[in-house]
Amino acid sequence: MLISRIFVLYRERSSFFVELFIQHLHITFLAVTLITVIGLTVGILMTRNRWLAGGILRVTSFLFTIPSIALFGVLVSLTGIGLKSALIAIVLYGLLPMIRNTYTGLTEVDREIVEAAVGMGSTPAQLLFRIQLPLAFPVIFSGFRTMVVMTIALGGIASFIGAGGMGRAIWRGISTNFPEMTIAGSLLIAALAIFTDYLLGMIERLVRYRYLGEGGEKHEA
Amino acid sequence: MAVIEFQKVTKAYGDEVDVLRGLDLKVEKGEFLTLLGESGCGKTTMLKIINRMVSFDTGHVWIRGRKLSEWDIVTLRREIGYVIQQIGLFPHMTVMNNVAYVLSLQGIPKVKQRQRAEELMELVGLPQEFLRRYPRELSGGQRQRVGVARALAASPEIILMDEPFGAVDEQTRNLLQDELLNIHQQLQCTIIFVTHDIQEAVKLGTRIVLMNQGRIEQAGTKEELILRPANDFVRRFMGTKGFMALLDEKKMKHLYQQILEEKISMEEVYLRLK
Ligand SMILES: Nc1ncnc2c1ncn2[C@@H]1O[C@H](COP(=O)(O)OP(=O)(O)OP(=O)(O)O)[C@@H](O)[C@H]1O
Ligand SMILES: [Mg+2]
Repeated sequence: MLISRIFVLYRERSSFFVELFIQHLHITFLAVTLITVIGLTVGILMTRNRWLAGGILRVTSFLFTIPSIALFGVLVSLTGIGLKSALIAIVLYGLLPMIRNTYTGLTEVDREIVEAAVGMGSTPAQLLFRIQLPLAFPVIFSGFRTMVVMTIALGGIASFIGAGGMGRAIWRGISTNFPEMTIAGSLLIAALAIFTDYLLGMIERLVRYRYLGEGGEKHEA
Repeated sequence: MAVIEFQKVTKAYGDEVDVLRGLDLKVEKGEFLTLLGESGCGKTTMLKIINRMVSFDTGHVWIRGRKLSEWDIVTLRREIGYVIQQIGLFPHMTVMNNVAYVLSLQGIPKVKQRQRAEELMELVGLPQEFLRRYPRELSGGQRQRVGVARALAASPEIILMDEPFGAVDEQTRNLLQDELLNIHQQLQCTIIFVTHDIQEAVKLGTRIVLMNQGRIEQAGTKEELILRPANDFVRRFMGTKGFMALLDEKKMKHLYQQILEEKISMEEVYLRLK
């Protein structure tokens, strides 16, 4: 019964949901782009300085333990309500898996492979782009997948500080005591997250196969 | 002019002092030098100083008449072939791209790279079809061959090899050794080859350098080291094993064949030895 009422709701308010869905995709896309660029850069720089690496890993892990609502609250008082605060919060959360996997992936490339590449006269850039990044790619990609799914989910909460997105449907449902609306919004977020996770998971398996061959899946990061 | 020259070179790794204690050595063009010695005596360290994978503390090193420190590090490394013990093939690249790696770093066109890779496969005795494979699809011996081919790609005048045949069975190792000797003859390059196996050092080296605790105990031909050892250490180290390695393998084969064909009996051999 509830299900059919929700589908009726989707049909009747389709333009409302489509708009929110597009907003949600937009926030997710912005955040994912920012996190990927920052995360990759920081992860790469960390491999050049072990001391820096330890510090950054501790800071990002600490940020990760702060409840998202608390972080939103702090940010609202600093940067106000709106997309900016939401993006900052989402990016801070998403950085951990991206940075950690980039860093681990790069540092876990076999020492003898790096030694062979350096010994044959690779410049630091050639070493990074031809050897380290390709070999770390499966690990980095699995961090990317975690991060994207997390970002989609967090986007739902970000609406609470006026960033738009599917969270607005949830929020409206709660404030007007309209549970179908809340569930309709949550379902769309969940569906988007599950679908994206499935898609990225398939790509991940392909990537692992391409780089590690048969049984590549066994080498979990 | 020596291709490589070491003069009073010392090295310490932090508090691991006296890893190298005043090394003097001249390597001439076309030599096949085997660096022999017990584990931890400094063979790898000495080898890695040549392509600047490891720095040294005091003393001087010249490569082709130029001070090591004056070489551009990338140029130096590209002009020196390098095979490490664990081979270190790139798992995400085909054999083709592994073999042509240095050429690709230098921006040499793909067509030329392929041509050279095909030549090298021939040289190390692997079929051309293997160029399309990945390292994981090769046996241990085949990987060693690819490692050697990769080091030879840019036709280096100097080739450094750190126990390259350590991880294969004896038969394959013998085969690889024979092929390497062949390659050395064909290319007339200078090879520095680290090993801790006396037999290998004797079989391959035109000159053997015996190291002990960061020093060179003796450098010379196999006959010199085995028959005219410079000191007790050399005599003990080479011992009967060195002597056995010195006996020409072909003569042994001939003798064995004669015994099998009953042209000569084992008793006679014993009698003669007495
Ligand atoms: N990076 C390093 N840091 C500290 N000590 C080192 C390092 N590399 C080598 N050593 C030490 O220097 C000495 C010589 O090492 P080296 O690797 O040159 O020996 P080796 O003759 O090649 O031995 P093996 O036959 O076992 O490979 C050893 O005592 C080793 O412990
Ligand atoms: Mg060694």
